[in-house]
Amino acid sequence: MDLKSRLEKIAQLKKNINKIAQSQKEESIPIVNQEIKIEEVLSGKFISTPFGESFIRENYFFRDYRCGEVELFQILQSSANTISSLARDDKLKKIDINKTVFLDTETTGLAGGAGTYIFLVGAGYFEGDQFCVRQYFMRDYNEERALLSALNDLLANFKAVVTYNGKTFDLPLMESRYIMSGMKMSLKDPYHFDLLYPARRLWKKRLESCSLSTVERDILGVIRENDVPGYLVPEIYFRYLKTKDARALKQVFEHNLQDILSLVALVSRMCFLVEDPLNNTKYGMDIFSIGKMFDEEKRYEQSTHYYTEALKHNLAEKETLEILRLASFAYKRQGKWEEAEKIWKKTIERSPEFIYYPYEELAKYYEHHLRDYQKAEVVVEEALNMVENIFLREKLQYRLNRIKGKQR
Amino acid sequence: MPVEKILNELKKYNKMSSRFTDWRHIPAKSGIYKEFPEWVEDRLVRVLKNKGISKLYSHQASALEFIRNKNNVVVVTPTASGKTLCYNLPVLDSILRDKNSRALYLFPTKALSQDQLTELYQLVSALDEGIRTYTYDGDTPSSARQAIRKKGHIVVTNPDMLHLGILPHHTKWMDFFVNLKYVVIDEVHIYRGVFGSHLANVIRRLKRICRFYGSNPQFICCSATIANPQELSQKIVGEKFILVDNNGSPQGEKHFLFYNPPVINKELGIRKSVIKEVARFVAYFLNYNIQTIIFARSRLTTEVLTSYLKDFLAKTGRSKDIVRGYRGGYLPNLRREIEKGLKDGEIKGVVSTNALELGIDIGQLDACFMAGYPGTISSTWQQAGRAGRRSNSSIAILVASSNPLDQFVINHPDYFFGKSPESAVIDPDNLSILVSHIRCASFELPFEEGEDFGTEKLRDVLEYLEKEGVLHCVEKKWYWMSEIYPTEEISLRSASVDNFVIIDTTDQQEQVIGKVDKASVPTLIYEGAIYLHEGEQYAIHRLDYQNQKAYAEKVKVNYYTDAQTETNIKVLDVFEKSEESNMEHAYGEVVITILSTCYKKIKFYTHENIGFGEISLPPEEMHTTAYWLALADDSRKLLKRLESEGTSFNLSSGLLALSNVLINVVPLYVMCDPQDIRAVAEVRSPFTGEPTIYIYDNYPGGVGFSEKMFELRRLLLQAAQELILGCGCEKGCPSCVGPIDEVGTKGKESALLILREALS
Repeated sequence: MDLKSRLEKIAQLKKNINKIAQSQKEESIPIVNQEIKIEEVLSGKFISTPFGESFIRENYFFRDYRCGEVELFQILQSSANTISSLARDDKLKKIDINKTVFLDTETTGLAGGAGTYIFLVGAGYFEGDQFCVRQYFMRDYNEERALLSALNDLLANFKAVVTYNGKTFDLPLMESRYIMSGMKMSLKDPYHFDLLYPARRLWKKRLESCSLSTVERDILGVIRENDVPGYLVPEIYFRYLKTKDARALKQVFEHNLQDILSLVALVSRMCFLVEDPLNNTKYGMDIFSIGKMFDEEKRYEQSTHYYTEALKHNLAEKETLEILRLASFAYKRQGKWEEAEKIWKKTIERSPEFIYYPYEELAKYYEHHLRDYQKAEVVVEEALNMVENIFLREKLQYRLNRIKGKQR
Repeated sequence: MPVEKILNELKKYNKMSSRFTDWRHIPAKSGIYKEFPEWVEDRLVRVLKNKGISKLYSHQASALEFIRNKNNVVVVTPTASGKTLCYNLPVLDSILRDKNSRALYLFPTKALSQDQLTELYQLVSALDEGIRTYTYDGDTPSSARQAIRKKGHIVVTNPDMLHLGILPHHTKWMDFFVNLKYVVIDEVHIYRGVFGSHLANVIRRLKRICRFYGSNPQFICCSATIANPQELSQKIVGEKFILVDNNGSPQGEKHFLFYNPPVINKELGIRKSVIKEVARFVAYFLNYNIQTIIFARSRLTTEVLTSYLKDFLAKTGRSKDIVRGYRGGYLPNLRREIEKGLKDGEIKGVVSTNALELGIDIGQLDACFMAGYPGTISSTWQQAGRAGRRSNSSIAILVASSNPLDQFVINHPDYFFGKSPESAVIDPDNLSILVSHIRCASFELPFEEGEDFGTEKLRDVLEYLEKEGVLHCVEKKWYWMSEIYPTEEISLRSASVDNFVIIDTTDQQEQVIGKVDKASVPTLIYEGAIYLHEGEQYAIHRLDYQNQKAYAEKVKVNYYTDAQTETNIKVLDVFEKSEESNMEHAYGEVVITILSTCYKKIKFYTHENIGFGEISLPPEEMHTTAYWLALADDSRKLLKRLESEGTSFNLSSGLLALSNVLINVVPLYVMCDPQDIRAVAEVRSPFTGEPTIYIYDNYPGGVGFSEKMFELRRLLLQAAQELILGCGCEKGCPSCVGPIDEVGTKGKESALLILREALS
């Protein structure tokens, strides 16, 4: 038997064994072979590179363009300091939006690895009074080098990049593609503002997810029409490769373009929000998140301010208790003991369930700071009356003995 | 010397009982030493000399010279003969000369790579030259991975990780691959059959990636004693190898004893339990403070033996901790602790599964017991090799169980001592395996016209994959065109790596005490099971199958549990069949069901059955392919004729005997390991309605053996016939139809009669 028929036979065997798995996949749309070129579907141009031609589509957006509720050009008012603190990256203090490229890639898979290809790269940048989005596309695998080379020419102009999840996905993948093609990426160690992380810090508790599509819809108010969900993108490209019919790709280009615009809008939205939260959101949870961000930066004056503001909203009990806890520690760190004491007492009063930390904090405050051992003793006794857990009891008992010792 | 004393005692005992069926004396051998070659870096020689290694053994010196002259080398010498130095030395030497130089170490298991690292670490830290060695496996935290990829001089990993985690992401490893000088494959004998065929293809992929980055690493393999280490290495790597086996390490004298426990029930031929006999012996050895390792055949017997020995110690007022258990499923820290205790000499006895058969460094011990024949000649020598001091005498004792194979070996010691160890067979061009790795390779790097991968015509395979829609061809290059990550669909091993964890809830705090692979769940951690862990008893009170957790509570009971499993084979589809010479041959898709239905409660020491429990677990199912051979429709007539011909025909003996022969013959023709296939003989198969022998691929999905068996059916039957006729035994032995105790006195003759019909 020759190799081909042996292979067919194996395939037959495999099919028999994977009957169920197969049956779900078989329902693909019938293929009609009619070649429709990309340039017939989208207006674009071919530029020549040392590795052949590459297809590029350009779109320009002017001053008054809005992405959802946000004006695109507002971003030029964002301060580099705010961006740097959002990104928690001091290097970004040097970011210049006019030298920044907004990047998003469309790929043949989400898993990464050497067999995942980038077939479309969107790159947006400000140029005078317009915002330009260039989309680089490879019509087939053999145009990968041309795409990467053309892209390299553009990227060489920039010092910073803005992405959504680009730190773990887009940029490593781009680097991998350049290596596979035997080239070097011209964008070397750029300042990288990956919006995913600040988005998570700001909205994780409020939104159902922090995917760009959710954030864009709920935060920017962008409504996409006829959008392709990201997970279908590879399949659309594969079908195009097989049929040479480029029509379905139009949606992928639009999807990618919108992603780039949303990146720009999201930067300014985030900056406004953290620079002036009270006038830029109606959500207590957002203010809470901002307080927490200041907290993590050890800027306690701001954090307690926003915690207090957040508490004015009607939040769920669980969140309220959490804010109180964080606020009390932020006061403590500022040395504002009376404020902290108030919160600890308040927490004990309002919570029907036993919470350990305010007792402990009060006891520490009275014992070590005020040296009011009687007060300290009362608090510890009170806690001992409530607590059941054996380890906590041991701790409290130890503290009580010590306080009593000091009173003698 | 305690060992001499106990040898005398044993001799006396032997005269009295004559239970020892053999007593071989292997004389001491002095070491053959060589100076360090001139070219070895002084810094390295100094560090080794400080460690007390002032000279090399002859085999180490030979290996070094061959490696220096750019040869691939496979080193085959006994345990503890300093094999690791054969590769550590050239690797460290190359890194000292060129700090960019990189090396990859492959070990078959995670446990081994951990162990290897500790040893290497000592050398490296003594050198203090900033050489970085890391393990990179499933347990490596992702925060550490980038540094390892960029900075590791020596990366220690396993084939699965290379296949799943490294090769598909080779661009992240660019610096590593560009500078890769050496690839070390230790314990190469483990890569037999399907596992080995997979590894050979992973190595093909590795070499392809190296070529892409412009490197051409040299290979160093180490192997335990098998018949064909050189051939195996060459097949795995696809390059020429030089064999180094001039062992120059000194060996103390050794006594190798065969012991057969006495018959306690003459009518039923039942012998005294191997567990009890071994426990009795070892107790004796412990009294003399002789450091002893005991190999048991299963995890359960390992634990039962551990319990018995600990009880014995407690009774005699000694610390229970001087005897420990050791097996897969113990957590890494516990393993390290036991290994250390053995090296320090604090632990006097260790009961282990074959987990300690491989090169984990536990030092050399005084005595080794094998509670039951390990199954292969190669494993037996490997286990016996755990005992053996450089200067003192050591003892290895094989204690037979009632199992027919054990009884054969114990009563025919010459069969064992005269036979060379098994060969390792692999088939890197097994089409099913090859194609799955061509998929992975395409993902890693597009194939170009004119490339080779294995011996089959690559172009045909690529065109086939193109037709399947996973590859896309442009300008004579084949690109991966699928979202699927091909490596994730391909497991290099048959057993799933899914682990169930066992959680101790005794103190109301959940603590993981061990792990069990999925396949062992029905035999070890069903609800009601007593899970033994280092002699402690835990009752499994809840099994959360979905989340792969078993909850256990410490208990003290006087029994352990043993599950009863049933294996069933069901034919789902017939792909091809043929009737010839009164026989029906066919192959097709089958489902193998392994079901545990109940367990027995077995009392410690007396081993009496004191109760039952039910097990309600979903059956373990495996879809695979099988070849089968059935006596054709009019089998009743046929059987009558056979029975009338002589008094020596017995159907069930004949079927069993024939399936045993086939298991011995088939691997040579379909190129696999005996472990890769399984046979089931049924006197009346529910599917065919006739006496039938099934042989199935012991791999989910099958790997094409069944089809090959069907194709080669005549050849296989002829080979089986020749093997039986050519075997010198009278009525059966493990080399042909199996021991008489298993197949009966009529087995050999009956198998020949069936074969005669099938070949007529």
